[in-house]
Amino acid sequence: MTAVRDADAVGVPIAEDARVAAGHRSPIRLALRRFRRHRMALVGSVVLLIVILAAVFAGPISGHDPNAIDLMSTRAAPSSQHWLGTDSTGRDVLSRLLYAGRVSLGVGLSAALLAVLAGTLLGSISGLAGGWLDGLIMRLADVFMSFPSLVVMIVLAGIIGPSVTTMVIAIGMFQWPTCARLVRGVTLSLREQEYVHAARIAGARPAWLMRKHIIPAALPPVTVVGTLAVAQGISLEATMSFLGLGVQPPAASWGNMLTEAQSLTVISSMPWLWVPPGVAVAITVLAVNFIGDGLRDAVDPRR
Amino acid sequence: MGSYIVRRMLINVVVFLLITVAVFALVHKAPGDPIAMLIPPSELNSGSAQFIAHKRHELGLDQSLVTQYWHWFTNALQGNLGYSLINGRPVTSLLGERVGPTLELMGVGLVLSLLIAFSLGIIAALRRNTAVDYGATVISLGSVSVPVFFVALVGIYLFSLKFQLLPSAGISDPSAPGLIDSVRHLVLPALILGFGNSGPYMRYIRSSMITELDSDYARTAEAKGASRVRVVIRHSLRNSLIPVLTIIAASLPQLLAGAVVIEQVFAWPGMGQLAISSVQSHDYSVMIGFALVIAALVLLSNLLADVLYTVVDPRVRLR
Amino acid sequence: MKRRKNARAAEAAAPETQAVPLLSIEDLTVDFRTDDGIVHAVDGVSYAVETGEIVGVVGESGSGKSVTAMSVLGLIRQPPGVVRGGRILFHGEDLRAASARRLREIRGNGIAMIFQDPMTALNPVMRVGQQIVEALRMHTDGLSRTAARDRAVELLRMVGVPNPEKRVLQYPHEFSGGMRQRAMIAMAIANGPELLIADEPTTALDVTIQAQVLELLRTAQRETGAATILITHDLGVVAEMADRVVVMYAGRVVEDADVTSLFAQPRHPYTVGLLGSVPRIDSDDILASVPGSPPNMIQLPSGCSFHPRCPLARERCRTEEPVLTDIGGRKSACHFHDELRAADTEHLFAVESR
Repeated sequence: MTAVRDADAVGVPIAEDARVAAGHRSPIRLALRRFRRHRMALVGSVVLLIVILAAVFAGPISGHDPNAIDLMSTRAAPSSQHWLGTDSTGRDVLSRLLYAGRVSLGVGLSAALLAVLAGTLLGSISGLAGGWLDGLIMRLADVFMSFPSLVVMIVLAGIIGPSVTTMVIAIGMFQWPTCARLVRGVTLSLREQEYVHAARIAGARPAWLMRKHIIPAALPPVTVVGTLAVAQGISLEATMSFLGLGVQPPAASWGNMLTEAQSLTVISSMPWLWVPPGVAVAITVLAVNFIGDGLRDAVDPRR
Repeated sequence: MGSYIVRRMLINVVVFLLITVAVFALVHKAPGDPIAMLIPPSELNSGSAQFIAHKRHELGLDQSLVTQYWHWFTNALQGNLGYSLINGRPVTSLLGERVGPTLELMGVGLVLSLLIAFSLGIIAALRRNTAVDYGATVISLGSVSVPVFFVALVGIYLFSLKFQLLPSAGISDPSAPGLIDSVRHLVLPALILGFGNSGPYMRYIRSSMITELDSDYARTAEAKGASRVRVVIRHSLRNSLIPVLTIIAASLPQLLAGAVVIEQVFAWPGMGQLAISSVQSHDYSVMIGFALVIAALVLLSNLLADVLYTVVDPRVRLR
Repeated sequence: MKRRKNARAAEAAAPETQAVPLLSIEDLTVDFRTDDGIVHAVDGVSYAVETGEIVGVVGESGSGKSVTAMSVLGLIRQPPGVVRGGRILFHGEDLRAASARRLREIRGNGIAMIFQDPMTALNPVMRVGQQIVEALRMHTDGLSRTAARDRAVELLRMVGVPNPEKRVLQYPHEFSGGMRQRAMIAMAIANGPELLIADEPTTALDVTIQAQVLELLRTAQRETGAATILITHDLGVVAEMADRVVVMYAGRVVEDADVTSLFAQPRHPYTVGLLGSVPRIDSDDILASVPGSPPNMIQLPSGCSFHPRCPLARERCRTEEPVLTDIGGRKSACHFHDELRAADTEHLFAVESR
């Protein structure tokens, strides 16, 4: 009893039929669509590229040492010497901003990488093994997903003490479930395929299966998830550092540069201290999210 | 339906217990002597060594970890979470007096986030693929991307300093308390919390509404003579609401995370601010009490989500 | 047969009242904007429906039959659709020019529609009775909820749903496929419409249920005296139910005749092809199918859209688009329809011998 989707019906079905009739098949459509959505992703990529370049060439661009204290000119307004002014200990804001980019991007990337690796591993094991192991891993994933990462990280920072490593591990710890779910799904659907059956009968080991089949198939959606995880990571790091529980001074991070803004005088009369790092976080995370969105549309076969 | 709920409840309770074990592990990982957290400082300072040893035995601190866990857990269930290392007050009462403001903030924040999400989501769905839709999507992406604390800072700059409309900190003005004053203090934090929380909802509502509006039964309703408004509200929206409720319940922990940050920026006297100050002052007993509260909240929200899921969708209910 | 006679008799008896058909679609054109171009789904379609008449509209997927019907009630979403031209006259009133309010008055009331897939066409989280009640209360002022519910029960009983008092409180997924379609029919006839549009009402159903639902439609039609537009790709259904047949191809009407004449003597090659592809109990022949594939709706063939697949095609067919012409009580859009009059149409589409 299948519902015949008559091409006469309004909306999309006619278009599908017409496209098929016009001889256009999926891959071209995919590219076209990718291009259309690409506006946002394109903007995002350009912005991210600028941010990365700025962070990499932080030294030459700013011309100052981010940790050079100059108690003679603290909280100075932007000038020709200090393009973005100085902070409460006289350090050049611009150079701190640029170097902080390295930290934030680094944390975001490593955490996402960790999440993707752990997620892929656990997800494929879960999918291949099935049974109680599958149930256990998925239950674990549920638990980790339902916990608010920020709050747990705060408690951990309190007990163990704030550190970048702890933060990266903690962020990764809360991001792996999404990836694992995805990979598990891919694994499950691949398991039913003929060629995988054949391989298993021929005695292929799980590790080989993972490498040759699961990973290539899972790569597109995992890239999307990974990109979004990077955005999450950067945002979390910024928040933790803002609360004083992440990257500790004197190391510069966009988040801890904003800690200074907890005073009303700073907010109202010294915008150069807090607006640049805030804007930096905002546009970086936005850019990465735009890219992730664009990737998601490019990869989604349904649309 | 009954067996499904019972099964989910059991799973959630088991998970909760496991979490408490993890929290308990933290009790021990924390630097310092656990006993300092478990008896009032007055007793600790004035008691003789013998007294303290006796207490140690009573609390099971000289016994196996399992017994210790048992003591600690049963105590916690009875409302005894130890004493603050900083001011010696019972942790439970410290948390207790902070619950109200946090719930107030979270509650109003949730309502606002839903208002924002629904308005943007519905408009975006109705004006699909136009500039309006695009704008709404960018706003929702902004809500998800821009860290809540930065939005808060900008909000304070605009509304408290530049336009002098709203206060920038605290829950009330001690010199001029009253309803209006409370509301004025609540507006900005709740609004920003609501905005920060609305992003994921908005996207979901948009796509849900689009599916509903495109559905065959929406078309049938139109063919019966229903006005567009009626189709949107009575059919599409109502059907969209069902899954949204479950999502809301499941994302309550996220709401708490946002509240913690907002409380810090606005010096709002809630649990979040207490948690952060306890971290800064190394007040381990409060931190651990807070961890238990989070675990309980996660448990409750998962349960709520499960219940809602079955109650609200008749297709599942009748299975 | 009998229906047609009645209609004819009525026509003879009161020529003035029959002068204006119940529904008259005149030169309707509907385009759809897609990423790949503009689809000309309906290209200058005209046909009429008389009071009490059952008109079967046949054609393959993409022929525009559903889009035409949906345009009657203004259900085409614009964008991506664009109703470009033509008039849709219901009792002489142009529905295209009608206000949104007037259209809402007519929908579900003067003209009602039955959709193809009852599972998706009914709201899954609303009780079936509630959906019928909604149809009733929207068009009858002052109808109380209780009265409406009673009427809904009545309607369910009329369409043959057993135990209607209980069923009225149930959800669509608790109904079987055939029962769901019955409920849809109940909803459609609730306000006594003058015109029923049934869009492939039996396509999504099992064959055994199909017959029952068709029988129900026929009864409903007889009881209410409503005219019906029956859209289908199944010629068997048309032969059984319709008084008149409109054949559509590539967004245009290619033939328009009463059912007997059409089946006895088709006057368009496409119709011949369709008829040839219907299995017959009394014949051993291999089914002849129309060769080729459905046309590209974005770039229709020049001249007659059917010419690439037509065995009668000639130079003129490639250059000149045939107009739907009157040929003695029926219509055809083929330059060479005359040739089909005496032809041995059974073997028009060459079939490999066994």
